Amino acid sequence: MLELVSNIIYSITGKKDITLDTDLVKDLELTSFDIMNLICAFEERFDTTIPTRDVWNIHYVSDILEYMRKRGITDS
Amino acid sequence: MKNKAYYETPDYQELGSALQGLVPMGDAPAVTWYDRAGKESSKTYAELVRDAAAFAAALARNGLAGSHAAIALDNTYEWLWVFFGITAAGGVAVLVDVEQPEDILVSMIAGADAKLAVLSATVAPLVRDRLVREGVRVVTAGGGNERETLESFTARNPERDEENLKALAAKLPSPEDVAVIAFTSGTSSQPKPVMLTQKGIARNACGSISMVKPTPRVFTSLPLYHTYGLTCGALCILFAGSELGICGDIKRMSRDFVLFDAEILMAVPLVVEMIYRRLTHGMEAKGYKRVLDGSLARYNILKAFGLARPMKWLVKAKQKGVGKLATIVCGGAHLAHSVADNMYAFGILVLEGYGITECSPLVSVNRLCCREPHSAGLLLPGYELKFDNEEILLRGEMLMKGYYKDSEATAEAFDGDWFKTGDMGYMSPGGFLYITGRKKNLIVLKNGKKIAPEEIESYLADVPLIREVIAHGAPSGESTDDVRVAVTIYPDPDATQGMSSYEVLERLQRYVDEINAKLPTYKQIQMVNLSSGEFEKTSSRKIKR
Repeated sequence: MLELVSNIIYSITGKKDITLDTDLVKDLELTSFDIMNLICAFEERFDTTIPTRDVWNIHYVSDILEYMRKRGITDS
Repeated sequence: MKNKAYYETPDYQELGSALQGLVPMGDAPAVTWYDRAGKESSKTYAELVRDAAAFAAALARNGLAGSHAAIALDNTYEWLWVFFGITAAGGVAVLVDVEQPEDILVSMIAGADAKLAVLSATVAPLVRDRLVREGVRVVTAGGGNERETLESFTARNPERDEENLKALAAKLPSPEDVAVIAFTSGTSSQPKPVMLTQKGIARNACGSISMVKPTPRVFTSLPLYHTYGLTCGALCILFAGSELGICGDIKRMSRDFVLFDAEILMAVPLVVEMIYRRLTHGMEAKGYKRVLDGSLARYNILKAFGLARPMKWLVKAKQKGVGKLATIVCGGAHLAHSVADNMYAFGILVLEGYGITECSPLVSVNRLCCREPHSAGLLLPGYELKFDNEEILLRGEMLMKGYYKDSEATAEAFDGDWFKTGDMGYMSPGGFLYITGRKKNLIVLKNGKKIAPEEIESYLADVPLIREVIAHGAPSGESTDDVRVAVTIYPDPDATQGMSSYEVLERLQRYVDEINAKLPTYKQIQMVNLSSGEFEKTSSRKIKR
């Protein structure tokens, strides 16, 4: 799953070397619009809706995976 | 470059007449938006007027005419419908950002004495019960399992459309009445509620048309709850009879404005930079980086001689990328000069302006016919301006009535009938305003969001390891205004005795992480620094910033 998430992040931001501990704002220096575009890409890829308010609690790549697990979002 | 004649504009003194003024537009498209799949939806002027008049009638039926009513909705058609319904009937619309944390949402709505709150389906479950306990009636728009929906509350009956509109025309609001309570980040820890009048909002929207004439299709990327988004980004466009494209979901803004194919885009600097990046990256990805760099270098040499013109091949690339877009009206924060300049090489003219919530909000803007690059433009008709030690002071009928229930803050903000903006600047010989800095302490992010450092400091005030803290903006990019939220902490020497700086920092970071989890992304503390001593104080023991 990490690879899939990394690929989505790469396709939107051009940022590589993503690990579970990567901080989206501090390490990848994403702006709020980059983050919005990223969520949009996740919504399209997994055919789901992610409320903007939920995004506040996502700081690390590991948070994305945890959020997806909790919401039952899988790559199927 | 001297100012030229103003464009023709309606001359509304209040929003009741403005709504009546939309009637002749009939079946012309008023508002257009896109769903997740990119499917377009539109409402006509006739529908907007009917829905607003039905909402006003519903307020009267429920004994809420003239009351304060809060709007906590995303950027939707419903937002505009409810806004016109409240204000055309002489009520006060309390404009709330739905992204605020729940506690602040409740305190904003209840604190502004709203008797009714129209909430989005996402926000309603989070705050409904608390608002009801505060005596606020809650209506929900946009789905969900809520008891009272916008449709059921409005209960529009087509047979009464005519009658509803006549009832509004018979009782127009007074121009001096308060129409809007909008929130600004003041220097206090809570956002300040600003009372704007019917006249202030209506005349500011009309004045905006006289400066920059809306084209037939205008897209706004701005939030409607913000006065810049409301007055300049929506009312001004609708009063001119143009078709307004709105962004229903900020996540899809970059897609939606291309789908709408607008000639004018209303934006903040971050959006302008995003478009610029999209244009340049698109060409670099096709292997044109060297040619692009060469073209922009030539363009900038010509610009130095006042000969800059859009470059044909870049204009073609622009048309492929963002369609007809020819003008961006940009405000809310400072835009990097290089971006504004280079956008013109692609055939996109960026017109920068200046405004503040307390001024309804537009104060000055560049015009297509008369502009000075990097200035904030010419003064809007109806405003007088003077400087006090470089601080910009304004006088005019569009100024706020004051801060709601805060006469002390209101008195502090005025010097007689002059409003003290807290911004510094100067005027060029041609009458163009230049902003040089901010007297206030606000941390202004590139997306136009403002953060009061006192608010961030208040979150950290109770952390036992901290003796003193100041929050500030720290540079985080290429331009000086590209900032992130940082805090500098003087740790409590007793509480941290025997600990290394690394340990102190690590423990502070844990507190900061907990605080960040409760804050919207843009307010999160992104940098923690330690101070080895106490901060310098003023005579009244306030920390010097």
